[in-house]
Amino acid sequence: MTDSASSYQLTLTDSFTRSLACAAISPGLRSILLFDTTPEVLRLTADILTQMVAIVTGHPVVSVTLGTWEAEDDLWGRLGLSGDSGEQSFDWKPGLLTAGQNPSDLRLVIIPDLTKLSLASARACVTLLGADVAHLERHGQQEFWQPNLCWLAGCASDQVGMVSPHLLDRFALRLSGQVEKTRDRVAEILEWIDLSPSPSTNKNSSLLLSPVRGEREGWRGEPDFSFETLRQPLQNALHLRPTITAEATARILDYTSILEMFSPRREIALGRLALASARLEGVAEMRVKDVDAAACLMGLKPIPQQTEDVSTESAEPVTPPIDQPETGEDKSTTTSLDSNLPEPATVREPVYESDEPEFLPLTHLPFNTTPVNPYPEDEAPVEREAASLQLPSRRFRSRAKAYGAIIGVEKAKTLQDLALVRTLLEAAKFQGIRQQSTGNGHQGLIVSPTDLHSYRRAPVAEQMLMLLLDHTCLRDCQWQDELLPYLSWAYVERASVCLIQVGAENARHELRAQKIMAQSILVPSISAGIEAGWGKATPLAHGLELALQTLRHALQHGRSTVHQAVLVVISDGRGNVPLAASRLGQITPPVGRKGVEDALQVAERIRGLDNVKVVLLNPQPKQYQDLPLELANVMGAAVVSIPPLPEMEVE
Amino acid sequence: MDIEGNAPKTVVIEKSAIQILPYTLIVGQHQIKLALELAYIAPRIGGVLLSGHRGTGKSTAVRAFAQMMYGCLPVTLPINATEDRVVGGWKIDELMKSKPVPQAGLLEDANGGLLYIDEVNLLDDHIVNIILDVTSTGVLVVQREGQSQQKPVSFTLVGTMNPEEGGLRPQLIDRFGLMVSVTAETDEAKRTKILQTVLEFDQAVSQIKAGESSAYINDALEKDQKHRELLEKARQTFYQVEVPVNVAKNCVRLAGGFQAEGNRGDYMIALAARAYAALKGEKQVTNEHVATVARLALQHRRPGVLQSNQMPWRDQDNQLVQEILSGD
Repeated sequence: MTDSASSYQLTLTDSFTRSLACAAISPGLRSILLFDTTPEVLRLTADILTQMVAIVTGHPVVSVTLGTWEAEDDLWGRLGLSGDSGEQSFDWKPGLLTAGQNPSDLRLVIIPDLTKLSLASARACVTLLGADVAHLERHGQQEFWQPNLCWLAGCASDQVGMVSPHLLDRFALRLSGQVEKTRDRVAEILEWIDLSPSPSTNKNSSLLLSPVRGEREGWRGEPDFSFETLRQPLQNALHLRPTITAEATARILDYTSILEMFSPRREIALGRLALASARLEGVAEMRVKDVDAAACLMGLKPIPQQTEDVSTESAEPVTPPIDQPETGEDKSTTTSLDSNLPEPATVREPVYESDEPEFLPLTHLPFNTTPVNPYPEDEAPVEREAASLQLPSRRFRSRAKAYGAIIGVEKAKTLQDLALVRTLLEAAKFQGIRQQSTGNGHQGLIVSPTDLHSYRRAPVAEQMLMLLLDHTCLRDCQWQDELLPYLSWAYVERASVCLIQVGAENARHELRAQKIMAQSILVPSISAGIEAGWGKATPLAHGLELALQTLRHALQHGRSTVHQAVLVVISDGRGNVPLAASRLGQITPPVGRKGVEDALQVAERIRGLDNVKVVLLNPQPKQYQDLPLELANVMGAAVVSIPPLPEMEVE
Repeated sequence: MDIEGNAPKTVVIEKSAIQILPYTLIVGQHQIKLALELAYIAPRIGGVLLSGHRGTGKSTAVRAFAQMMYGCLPVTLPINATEDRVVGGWKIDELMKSKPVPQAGLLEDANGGLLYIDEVNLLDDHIVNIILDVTSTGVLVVQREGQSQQKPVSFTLVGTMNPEEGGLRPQLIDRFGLMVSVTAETDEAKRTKILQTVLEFDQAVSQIKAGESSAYINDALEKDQKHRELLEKARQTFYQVEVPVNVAKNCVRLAGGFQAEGNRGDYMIALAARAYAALKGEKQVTNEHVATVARLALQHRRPGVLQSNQMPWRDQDNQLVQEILSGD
C-alpha cells in the first residue's frame, strides 16, 4: 500500500512491530503471549504477523482460532464423510493443528484467551508448542512431522495463575497488548460519529475497529497496513547469520534469575530475540547492546546481583532505536513519535498549510508493548486445579454426566449420551466386511455393539460446599479441626466450593464480604482464603446475602448441575455493618444493632431454600453467647460447638 | 532387544529430515544421559523415567539418543493416541475396500527397541492400563474389533514428565527401572554453553533448510557415531562383566537400607552397576559403580515417594550410600 493517506506504515523503530518481525524471521520465537490485550488488538496483531511470516516464508499463512470447546478430534483430525460419490464414502479429515506437514502449509494458531482454553487444546499446545516433532496416532492414522505453527495467545496478567506454568513456559515472546490512550477521547468520539460507513469489503476492515482504528490520526480511507518498508529488511535478515560475541552471551545471563522458577527457555528466548533483532539491523555481529535492546522489547530488567557492569553497558547507545513505553529506561535512545511526549515548539509553527490537510501516517503503533513483568506466573497466586492438564477423573452419580462440556469420545459402556456420528462412522469402517458376511442382501448400515461410542465429558460438580467464614471471630477457637470434615466431604464428593469471607484482613473493601469460587477444594485460592487474617469490620449481613444469591444461582438457574449444597457458617453473629452500608460502601453512624438485625433477616431467607443443608459452627464467644444460636435458629442450621483454644498460663 | 543382548532391530519410523540436536551436543544433564545409556546396554532395566523442571531438554535428549543409536526417531506414544493405535487395529483404507489388513500398534512397533512417552503423566488412564498389562506380562493380548491374538513384546519404556502437572500411578513408576530427577543446569559456564549450542544449532538448521551443509552438524554426527560404537561395544561385553558376591550383597543392603518398595530395587542396582562397568570398559563391578547408579535405581522406590511423587535425594542419601557400601 503506497497511498500514505490510507495506509499505516509499519516500521521497525516501533518496538511492537520489531518484536513481531523478530518472531517472523526466527521460528523459535513464533510463540507469542500478549498480556492484557483486547480481541481487536489480538486480531490486528495476528494480521500483522500473518503478513510478515508470509513475506519471510513466501507462502500464505492460514489462521485458526482455538477456543473453549475444541475436542481432540477437532484438533488432531477425524474420519469424516468424504462427500464424493465415489467408492470411498469417508476419508480422513485433518485437524486444526495437524497442518504444517510441508513447508508451505504454515498456520497461525490464535488463542483469544489462554485462561479459557479447552482442556484438549491445552494438552495439544503442550505437546506442540516449541516441539521438534509432532506425532499423530489416532483412528488408524500414523504421522509424524515437524510442527510448522505460529502461536499467538492473549491472557490477562492478573489471571495468569489459572494457566498451567508448564503451558505458559512454552511461550517464548511475551508482549503487552495494551493500547495507549494518547488522544483526546472526546475528539475521537466526535470523529467517529462524523465518519461515514465505508463500503469497503477489505477483509482486514473488521480487524481495525476502535480503539486501534481511532488511534490512527487522520485515517479516512481503506484500512490497511503497509509492509513496504519491512519487506526488504525481513528478506535480507533471512540470509544473515551474525556471529555472537562471548560478551553478548554472557549478558543474556544477566537478565535471568536462577531462582526456583528458573527455566532455561527464558534465556534461549532472549538469545533468539537478540539475534533476530541483530539480523534485522543487518549487522555482522550480535553484541551486548543487541541483547539489551532485545531485553527492552520484552520488558526484562537485569537481575540486580548480576549487573555490576550495567552502568557501563547502558551508557552505550542502544541500537536499534526502539520506541519504548514510559518505563523510565533509556529514554534518550528512543525515537518515539508518541503524542504523549511534549512536542518541540518549532514543530507547532505551521510553515505551510494546504487547503486540504494531508494526513501523514504515523510510524508508531499505539501499543504499550512492553509488559511490566513478562513472567507474571512467577508471582501470580495459583488459581488452577492441581494437575490441571490431566484428563479429569470420571465421577458422576446421576444425570449430571450429560451436562459437562464434551472433551472427546470414548467406547460406550452404557447406552447413555451416545456420540451418534462417531458411532456410525465406526460402523461404516466395517460395512464392506459385514455386508459380505451376512450375505442376505441387507442394504442398511449394520451397527454392532462394539461400534458404540459415547461422549467423554468434563466433570461437573453435583454438590457445592459453601463456607461463610467470619474471620473476626476465629482468633480464640480451634475452628480448623471442626471445619476439616466438611472440607473432606467436598474433596470426596468433588464438590465445587464457594468461600465467602467476612471481615478478612485483605478484603478489597472492608465494609463488604467477598466471594471466591472454585471448581474444587484443591484450588489453592480457597485454602489461601480460609487462612486469611482478620480485619476490623464484620459485614455479616452482606456475607449472608452473597451466600443467598450464590445458592439461588447454583441451585435454580439455567442448566444448573448442583443438586445439593452444604452451607457451613462460622460466625459469632456479631455483624457490625448494616446491609445498606455494605451496598453503599460507606457507613453512617450510629449503627447500633442494625448489622445484627440485617444478618438475621437475610439468614431467614436462606432457611427457605430447598436442598441446602446449613450448619453453624459456633465459636462460643464469651460475650453475646446467644447471638450465634439465634442466627442458627433463624437459618434452620444445625449447631456444632467449636472448642475454645486451651488457655496458656503466663508466668 | 533380547536378553542375549543382540543388536536391536530397526525401529519402524524411518530416518527423517527432522533436525534434532545431536546427542553429543547436549550440554550437561549427565544423569539423563547415563540412565539412557545404561538402559541401552542392559535392556532388562526395562525403562527410564525422566521427571523434572521445564525446559531442561528431557525430550530432546531422548530423541537425540534414539537418533544416535537407531538412526531414527523413537517410536512415540503421544498423549493423543487412541486405543487402536496403541494395541493395533485394521488399516482403514483397506477395510473400506472390504479387505481386512491388520495394522500393528505402537507397542508392537516398539518391540525390541524403545517406546517413548512424552508427558507420560498426562496419559489417559485407560492407555496406562494397557501399557502396564504388557510390561508386566511381556505379552500383548489383542481382543478387539474381531481380532484375537497374543504377541510377545519387549521394549524399553522411556517417559518424560513435569511433576508440576501431577504424578504417576505407583504401578507405572515401578515399571521404570531407573529414574532421573532432572533439574536445570545452574552453573554459569554450562548455561552459557547451552545458549551457545542452541543458537548455533538454530543457525545450522537454517543452513540445512537453505540447502547448504553444516560443518557444525556433521562434526557432531561424527562424534555421535563414535559414541554409538562405544555403547554398542559396552552392550556386547555386558555379560562378560563379573559381579562379585560382595557387590551383589551390597546391592541388597542398599535396597534394604533405603527401604526400597518392591523386590526390584536391589536387582536394578546390580543390573545398572554392571551396565556402568561395561560402559567404563571394566571387567568387574565395583562399589564405585554401584554408588554411581544407586540414586537412579532407588530414588523412586523409597517409601512415601509413591504417594507424594516427590523424589528428594539429598546429600545425606549419598552419604548413606557410602556408609552402606563401606560396611559401616
